[in-house]
Amino acid sequence: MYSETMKAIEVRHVAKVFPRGQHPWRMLWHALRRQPIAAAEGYAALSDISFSLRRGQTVGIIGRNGAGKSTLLQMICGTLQPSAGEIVVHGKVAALLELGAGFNLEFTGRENVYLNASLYGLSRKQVDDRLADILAFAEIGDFVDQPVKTYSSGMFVRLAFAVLAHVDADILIIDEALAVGDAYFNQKCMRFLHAFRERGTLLFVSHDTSSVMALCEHAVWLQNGRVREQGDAKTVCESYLADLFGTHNKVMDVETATVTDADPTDEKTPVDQRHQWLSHSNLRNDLEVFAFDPKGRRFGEGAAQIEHVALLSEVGQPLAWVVGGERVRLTIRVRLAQPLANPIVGFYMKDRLGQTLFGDNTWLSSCHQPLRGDGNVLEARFHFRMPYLPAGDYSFAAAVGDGNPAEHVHHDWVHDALMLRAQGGPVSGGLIGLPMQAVELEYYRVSA
Amino acid sequence: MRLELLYNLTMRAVQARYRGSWLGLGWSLLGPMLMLVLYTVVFTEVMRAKWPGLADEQGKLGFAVMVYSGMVLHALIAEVLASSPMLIVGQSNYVKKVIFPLDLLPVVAVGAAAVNLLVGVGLLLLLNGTIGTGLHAAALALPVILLPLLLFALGLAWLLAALGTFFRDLVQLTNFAATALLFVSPVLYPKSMVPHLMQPLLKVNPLTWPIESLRAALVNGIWPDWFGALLHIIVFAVFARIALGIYRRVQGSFADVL
Repeated sequence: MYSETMKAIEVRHVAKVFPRGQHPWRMLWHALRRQPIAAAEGYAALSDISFSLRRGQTVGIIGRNGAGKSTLLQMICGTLQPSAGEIVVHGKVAALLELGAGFNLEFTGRENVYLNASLYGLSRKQVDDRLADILAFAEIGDFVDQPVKTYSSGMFVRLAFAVLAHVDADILIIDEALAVGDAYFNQKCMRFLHAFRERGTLLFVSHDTSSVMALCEHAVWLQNGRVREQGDAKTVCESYLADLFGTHNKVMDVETATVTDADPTDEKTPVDQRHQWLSHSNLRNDLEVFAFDPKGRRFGEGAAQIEHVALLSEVGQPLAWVVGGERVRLTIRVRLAQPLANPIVGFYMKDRLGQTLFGDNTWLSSCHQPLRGDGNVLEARFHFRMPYLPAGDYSFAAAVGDGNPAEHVHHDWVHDALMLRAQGGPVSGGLIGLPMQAVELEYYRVSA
Repeated sequence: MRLELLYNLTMRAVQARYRGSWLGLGWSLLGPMLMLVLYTVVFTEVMRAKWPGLADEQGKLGFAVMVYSGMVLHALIAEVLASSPMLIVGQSNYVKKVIFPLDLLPVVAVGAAAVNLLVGVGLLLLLNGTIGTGLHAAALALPVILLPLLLFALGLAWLLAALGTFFRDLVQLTNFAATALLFVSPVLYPKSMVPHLMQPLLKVNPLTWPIESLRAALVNGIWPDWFGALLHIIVFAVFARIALGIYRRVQGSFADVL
């Protein structure tokens, strides 16, 4: 019916300016005249975006938080009007923009399915016919007759996705909402999306470049509201990752005295054998690393000040992104206002509830051999393998003291020196997952 | 398809109002009845008011029917006045997060209010039919009497919803307007009681014609004047169409101001 080259979505020179502090009269006047707010009067979230999707194509949109991905999606769905340019959509669009939007919390899952489906133009009769399929897909069991306010976020997204999957959309737009489901449901969604590609157009937005690469032929990389790069998904994702890993990459020339780890990692360090496989699946444990915040909460005597904390790759490149199970180097750089007799530098990693997961310090490695050399900057480096972290927020606390672990003066303690946000991951239980050296399962026959 | 969606949403809005309450839909009967008892007691017992032209043997019940027929119509407009300005603000999910025909939202609100109106009119018919002046053939004209009011309510809902999204102060004004409308409309008194000088003011009040026509038809069995009906329908249909035009023109900017 449609030719292969027919366009599904065309985005031409689109820009979006959000008004900021405009008087209501002025907003109404602009609205009545259909005249968008000028870029100078508001916040320009997107500027000059152009791309197009052919029918049957799958395109991923990637970019960091605040790059304008959600704004772009909202405009394609038609919930937001572009300030300039034009968006043309051919076909029926179904979108999962945000968790549970369009659901009425007071009503049951079943009632919400009917309402939600009728928003997509399905008649009651059509929903009756598909209800069994929808409920089977969502797998929420008896909860279907409970108000959706009692649902967990996972059940919410399962039901929303199940409805979406059964409304005969020509174009599906999926935001990162999938990340809330469990791994099993994610797999199911991925299978559905793979099958959907046969008949429809898919626009997929994610942080997770591995699923973009797995699903999409094309990718558009947004950066600060502009298209940074677009084209073949793999190429775009690779340059995106390269850019992420390269941020904060500043070489600093500092005088350092070295505390060498007693047991330096070498090539013989065992590796979790599943790691290679995990890294290429959607169970990959992506950890986003936020930059060191020197203004964070801290306390201490102040004779030494923690100047910088960073997570580096094993070859010393600063990381804005790390994958659980990878080898990393945590560096803590301390500026000394006066020499310390027995400096100890240490860190803790805490989860979002403030539970300490692990930590270490330089004491054992340096207590037997006094630190040689001098300088006004001290740098401690901890080489270790990043554990797998369950999804959530984590922080590194860094500290420098003078003395020994039993008796010392705190010179500086920074609570949330580095923040991490974890997504996905293979952790099946416990607070962290350790890279296993080997996992074996074997049958034995033992005679009675 | 839009009609089915409209129906679903309206039913849902009606249900949502009473969901979780023990009496449920019964409240749309009990609520106005309590008000009715209150007004009747205050006006007939305390203020000893008499409804002009009402025979003595109709007594308190006659008074109640007169007041109630004004109240059910006023309640529709009062509800639109009170709820429309915050209609979009309160349902920003529909604006920002789903693809939704936004011009339906005010229609749903009016639809839900109209369900209450129908329950009220039904109660009125029952009350007057059993212990009042009885059922009259003129009651068949009910749709013609209610249609202009519904058109006016719809126009008002579109207009206020559009403006209220931009001006959050509007709802304070319309709350006052709803109460004021009770006293400046012939709800608690008949049109004939209003001094000659103020009659023109009463004429431009959109509630006057429907209330007077409803009383005439239900209580006295007098058919409405058809020319007046046609005139009101045309005027309010034009008003509603203009309001819808304004609403559609600005609805694209709702997402920017929420």
